[in-house]
Amino acid sequence: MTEEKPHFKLKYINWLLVVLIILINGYVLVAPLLPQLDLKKRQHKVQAVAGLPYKSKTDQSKNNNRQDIPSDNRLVIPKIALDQHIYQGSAAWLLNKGVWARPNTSTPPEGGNTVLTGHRFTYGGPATFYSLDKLAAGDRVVIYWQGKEYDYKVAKTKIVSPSATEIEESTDNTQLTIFTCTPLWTAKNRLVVIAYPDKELN
Amino acid sequence: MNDKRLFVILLVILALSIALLIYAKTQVGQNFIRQF
Repeated sequence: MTEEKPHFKLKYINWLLVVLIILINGYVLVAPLLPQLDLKKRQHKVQAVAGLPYKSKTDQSKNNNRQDIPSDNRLVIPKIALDQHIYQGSAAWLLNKGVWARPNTSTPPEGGNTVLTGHRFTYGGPATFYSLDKLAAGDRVVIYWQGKEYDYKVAKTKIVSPSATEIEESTDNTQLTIFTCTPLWTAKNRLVVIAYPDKELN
Repeated sequence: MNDKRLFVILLVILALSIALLIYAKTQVGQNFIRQF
């Protein structure tokens, strides 16, 4: 009887190890899919999100005494139910908080090339632009900047190599550049979305 | 299977799983801004 006790314990320890292995590998496998589920959940609220920034084209009160403009700088993309604060600064760790306005690039009021970036997916971090690949030409992007609304329309999307730093170069025309990693779950290339001011709304 | 042998095998698998988790946490998507 006394010899069986250690084996009895080992059996329980083995079961504990099996549970731990399942939990760890389950997390590694399932976590990359969670933002997709989250998007579907948030898409139920997309009307509310979309309703926040947009006034009708005929609304003459745009930017005049608007009560619905957030006080902080925000990026809103209704199609992918994205509504996030834009962080400014030179530290790359700001990426771990959400949308990062790249230093040494422009801002919406200044014109030129405003460049925003964010993680596509990280374990335990934000998946800011997880669904950025869903954007297509004509989709609407809104930036709130210092209490004003700037409306953009996506013109094109492209995939470039990680060394294509020219996407951050200043431009004569006003444009918005948003980039993140692609393919999903890797940092192999960069998915770039270029949007121009929506003349009908600005 | 002998419980002791199973224990060793599970321990190895657990170590590999933890290594995978650490890799995922530190590498996936983390280095994409370095070239800018």
